[in-house]
Amino acid sequence: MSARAPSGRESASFGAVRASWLDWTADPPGVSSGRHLVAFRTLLLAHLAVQAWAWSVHELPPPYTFPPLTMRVAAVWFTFLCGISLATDRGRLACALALPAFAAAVAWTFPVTANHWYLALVLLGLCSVFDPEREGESVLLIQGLRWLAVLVFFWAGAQKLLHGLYFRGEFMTWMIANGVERWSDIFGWMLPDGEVERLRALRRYQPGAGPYRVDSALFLLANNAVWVGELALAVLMGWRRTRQLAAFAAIALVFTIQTAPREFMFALLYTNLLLLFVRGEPNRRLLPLFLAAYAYLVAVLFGAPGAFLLKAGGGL
Amino acid sequence: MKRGGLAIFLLLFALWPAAHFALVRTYDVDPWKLGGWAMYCVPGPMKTVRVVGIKQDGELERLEYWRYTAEEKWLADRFRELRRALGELRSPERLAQGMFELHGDWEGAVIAVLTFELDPETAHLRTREALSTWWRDGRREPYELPADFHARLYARP
Repeated sequence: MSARAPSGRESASFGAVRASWLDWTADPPGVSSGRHLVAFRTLLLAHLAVQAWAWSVHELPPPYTFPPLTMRVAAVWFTFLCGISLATDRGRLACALALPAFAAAVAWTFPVTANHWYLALVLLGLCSVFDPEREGESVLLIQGLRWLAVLVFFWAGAQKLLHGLYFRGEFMTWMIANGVERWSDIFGWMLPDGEVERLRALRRYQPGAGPYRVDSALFLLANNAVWVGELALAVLMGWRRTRQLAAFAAIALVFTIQTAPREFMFALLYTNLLLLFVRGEPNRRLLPLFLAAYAYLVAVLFGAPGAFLLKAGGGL
Repeated sequence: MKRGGLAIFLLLFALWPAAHFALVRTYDVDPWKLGGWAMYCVPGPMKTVRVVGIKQDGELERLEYWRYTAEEKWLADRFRELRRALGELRSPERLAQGMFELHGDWEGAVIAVLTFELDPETAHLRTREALSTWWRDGRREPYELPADFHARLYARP
């Protein structure tokens, strides 16, 4: 059989199919996300700055401890670049200048790097390549960022499904038993009387210890609602008609889940991303609030009241 | 050009967690690490590492964690950390070689990695053991373990 070049019509339809999935997360015609994205970019740089301040105050354990002064210099650098993004129209350049330093931090901590650092790195990469102040690039940037939000949410739910420790609540039961106290503080009230005490008496390194299951319909419902919610919201965020409501629900879910481990840095980063699905430029409108939240987290690191915002180890 | 690049990048980003899941299942890679978005799916990996030296006269010398020298502790902790993150993609070979440098009278070393995990069927904690033997001269022959090896390996002091 001889090879046949595609006709113009076939080629055009292939191009339409190829383009269509990328466009699922696009804005309706006539809507511009430029200013929205400029605020997103500034908040991303603020996030990096706060992360670097956190690392400079609360050092990572060896062998991942950063060389002396490195993180202080990086914190000042990211803070300066955040200021550049806030005060000038050179935000893309600021992201491009932040990228090597943050990539080096990720490489330094590999392979124990936290997943939200990878996410921040990817977001930074996109903001370095696409300029929201150029019409065509603004469209691609919002599509790309929204796709990342959808994919991370989808896979977070799918992985819980695949690993199989949510159907009967085993993972959460384990965390109540062995995680830091906060897991039982947040979720322990759903368990029958005496169960928290039973679980916390189980030894962590004792083969055969268990069972890490509890008899509580509410607890099982809450466990399964997590992965079902993540999968469903990922799909709903892809639909233009439901994306706004889904984004609000997703923000609520993220904060609910992250309250126990105090992953507020991830919660803020992801909220910044999810707000890109919401009409009315909330990233821009809420920019002062976000910056104040980030500034307060830094203040807590330096001793301001609010230690409950820190992780069990004292970091961010 | 940029649109095509973005599409390819997003495709890779979308597919990576599936590959990550395969790595977790095949090589025991940590679900929490390497960007597979599988945090809070399973308890964080719990692994202990035991090192037993095989001396020239065939006598076994078990290293006690609480009596490690600083060099031994660094080697063992580093291996355990990387093994937790990378699973079987991280071989104990470097740990064995490091121990040979510290213990001139060792001909070989048996390294045991004990993994504790939550069994989804029973919801009880279960263990898996990976034993490997390493020789100073580089040969890869298994060591015939004495009958009481495991009893001695996991004996509490």
